[in-house]
Amino acid sequence: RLRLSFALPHQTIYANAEVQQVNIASTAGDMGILANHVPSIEQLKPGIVEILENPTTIKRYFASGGFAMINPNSSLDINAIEAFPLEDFSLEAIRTNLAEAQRIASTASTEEEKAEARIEVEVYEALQSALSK
Amino acid sequence: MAFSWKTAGITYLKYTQICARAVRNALKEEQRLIAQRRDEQGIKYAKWENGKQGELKSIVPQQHS
Amino acid sequence: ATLKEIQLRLKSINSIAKITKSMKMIASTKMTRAQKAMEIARVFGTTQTGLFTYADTKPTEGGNTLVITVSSDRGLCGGIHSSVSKRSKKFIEENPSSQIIVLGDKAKGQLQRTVRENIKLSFNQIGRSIPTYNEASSIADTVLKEKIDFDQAAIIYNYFISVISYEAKIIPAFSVSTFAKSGNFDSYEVEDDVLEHLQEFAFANSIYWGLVEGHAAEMASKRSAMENATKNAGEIIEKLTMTYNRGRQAAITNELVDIITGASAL
Repeated sequence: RLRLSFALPHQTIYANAEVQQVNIASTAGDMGILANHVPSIEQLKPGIVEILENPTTIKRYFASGGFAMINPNSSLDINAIEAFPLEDFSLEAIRTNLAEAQRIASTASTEEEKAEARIEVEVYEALQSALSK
Repeated sequence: MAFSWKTAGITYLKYTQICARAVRNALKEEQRLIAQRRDEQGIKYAKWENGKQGELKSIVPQQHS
Repeated sequence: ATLKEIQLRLKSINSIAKITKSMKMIASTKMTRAQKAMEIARVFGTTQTGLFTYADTKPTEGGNTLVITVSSDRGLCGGIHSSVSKRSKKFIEENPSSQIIVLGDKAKGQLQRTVRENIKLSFNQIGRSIPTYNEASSIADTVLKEKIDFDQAAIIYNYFISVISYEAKIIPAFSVSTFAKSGNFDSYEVEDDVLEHLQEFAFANSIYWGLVEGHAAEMASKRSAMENATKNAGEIIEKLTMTYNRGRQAAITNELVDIITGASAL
């Protein structure tokens, strides 16, 4: 079994709990983690963290980003800054914010502002596709 | 995957702050109002040289989008 | 002292006791909230630093060391600030070339007396409420942007033992190159730019942990300080009341003696 800690600065979602499998969106690609996975350090993209507690109980969160550390003893430590169950999001807010971020990305005067807006576009698009699954 | 924001001078920590803020702004109202308190940040800092404190500056506050 | 003087002192100590009592109530409420936040921040922090245990990360021998002293701007909270200042000074005695980053005006005041040459950055506006992650991340980002080079950092904060005790402790942080020299580093698969981001992230996470835990210790210490002050005021009030009553009794007796003496003279 895999032992999962999934911690946010303001909330502990899993504290060293036994789970079957965890699927993450890593910058290296989407991956599924089971017990005895090769030790690895993965940077999370804004995206879904899916926890299969057992074959019938699946929990899905959208995380803003952070790190997953797969340690040699079948423990998986995930530190994220924000993560919420999918039902906490508003499709309407996502749509409005996405349009606004797209507007800024094309009209902003500095490269930094543009880059910032493009990061937001990426987050809202990831949210949209997560919610449409 | 290259990190395109890096070329615009955005650090990884700044990147994570932007992503976190976007996620908070995408919540339903009830959860959003609670989560947005975590945007708060009023810290100031000063550089020191040879035992002397320099000018006090704000860490650039994030604009709300 | 005359009866009038005693009465005045009683009045002022009574109002002091009222103030310290309500300050204690406020600190109690804040402490409960701060303690809850601290328990969660501690899980977040230990989840992050757990990696250094698994990877077997050790400080670089003779490397650059950075001290981050975690305090706040607020007073009236017992020995909270001198606890981390003393620990930092001791650390600097052992590693004299260490650079210092100081969080909070109180520790700044104490450190600038003896080791001001080592201070590189100071931060303030800390301690009004529970620190946010955003604040910790911005502090870490500023330290990195200012190119404060270090091989290892010691984040010195007040560890919350219980509502009545705390102790200065150290959370370690490392540079990419120090982390890459970890004993078990080779067993992990990781890409280079990701490793750099991890170091920044871990640094911010540890500062957050130190700030939130320090805040809880501070609120607990403030509550105790106000409780003691209220208790002391209570004891003084009791003593003064007794002196006052004795004095008043003596005055009454004197008057009675006068009256009786006067009456018998008639």
